[in-house]
Amino acid sequence: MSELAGWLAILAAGLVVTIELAAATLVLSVILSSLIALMSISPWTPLRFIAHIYVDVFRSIPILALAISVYYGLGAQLTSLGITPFGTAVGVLTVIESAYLAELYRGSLESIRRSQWDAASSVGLGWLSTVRHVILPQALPPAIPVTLNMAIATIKDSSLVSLIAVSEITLVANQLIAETFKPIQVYGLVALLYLVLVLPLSQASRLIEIAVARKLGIRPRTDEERAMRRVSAVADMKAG
Amino acid sequence: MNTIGDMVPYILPGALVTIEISVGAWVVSAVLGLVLALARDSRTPLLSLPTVGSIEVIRAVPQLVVLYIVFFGLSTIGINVDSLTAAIVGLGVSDAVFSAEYYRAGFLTVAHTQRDAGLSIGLSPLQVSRFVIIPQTIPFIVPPLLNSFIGLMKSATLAAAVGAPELLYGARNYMETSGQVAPAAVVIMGLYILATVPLTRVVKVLEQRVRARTRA
Repeated sequence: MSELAGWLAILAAGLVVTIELAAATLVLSVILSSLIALMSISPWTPLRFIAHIYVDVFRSIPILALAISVYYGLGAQLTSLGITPFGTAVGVLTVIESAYLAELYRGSLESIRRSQWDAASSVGLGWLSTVRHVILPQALPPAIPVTLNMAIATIKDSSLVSLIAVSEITLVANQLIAETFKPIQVYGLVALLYLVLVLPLSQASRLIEIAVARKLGIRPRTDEERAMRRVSAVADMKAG
Repeated sequence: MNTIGDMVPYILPGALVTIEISVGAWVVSAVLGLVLALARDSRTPLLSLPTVGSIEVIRAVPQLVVLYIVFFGLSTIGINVDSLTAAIVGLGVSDAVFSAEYYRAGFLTVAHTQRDAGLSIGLSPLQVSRFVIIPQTIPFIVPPLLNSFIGLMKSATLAAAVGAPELLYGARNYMETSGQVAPAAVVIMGLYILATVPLTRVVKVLEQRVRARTRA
């Protein structure tokens, strides 16, 4: 029993790093991806072009490929600039998760009816004011469950940076296994800790999604529509 | 130019292993996903409850941890798996819980009356699934399953962590032996972009077709 307590204490330290990684990544991703999503619906072609290229490129690159390239290629320079592996990890995760999140946010923005844009322009609002006063307030509620799903994907993806020497829970577990030679028990515990972290988020996401749909009066009209929505909600959770 | 030539022996075999892993894991995911979906929707709680539980758990655990459990965990209970098999099984299982949801969503698209009709002419529940429900869900589940394949191609890089000689593993070896990181990084990311962007487009077109059909 005391052995288990010892393991839990060690893994908990890793879990804290995982939470910090995911939180920092999520905050930065929300900012970056909002910007990209707005660019992708803007009336200016070069901005739309940049946004599309960004999404295409960074949704194609595996997180691990980017992480290892940056770590091996720029490790020395980053260290001399005072950037830790943790900072590198947050940077890599943010760049990639933002591409996925931007695409999801674009979906939320485009779900607002065209007539809303027409109405805004007919009362003389410009693009920026239309976005600020008309589109965003309506696009925000459906973006909340999307963001929570992305938080789940980010927590899971953050395990990858164990391979570039960030002491999050997966790396800590590997070190523990190197001492104890008990992979099943340690990884079992790790899986349980991830579950404890993810389950409240996925439940919250599900509840908020239902509440938002009810408030907006969105009711799937057919079985197909309901199914389609389920597929996309599930897919959001795996993203990167 | 010379750099590219030097890189080929590292990259090319790696690319083949990446294809092997992603196709293998995809098959595991598609087959196991269907089994999980049927088990979850089964009317026997003895079958459906454990399935619900394992789907929830595996969905919360990172692919890398599932892969480690398969690779390191199984060997401690006497089952030795090589890194390639571990990658195919680990990534496949981890993806199957998502595929299961796609199948279940697909089942939803077929009206209840069809199941009742199948049962009323004396088919067993499994036969109804096999001959009535599943054939009608195929167009609906193809796009998400293709998306899974794209995802698995990228996830195949995780196999490097257990020493399977896939694309990233080859690229990393090249980086270490030649000391040149940038060319290998550009090549591997370029290959991924070349493989993923057109496939994503195809899936998008298929999705739009399905969507157009369901609106009709």
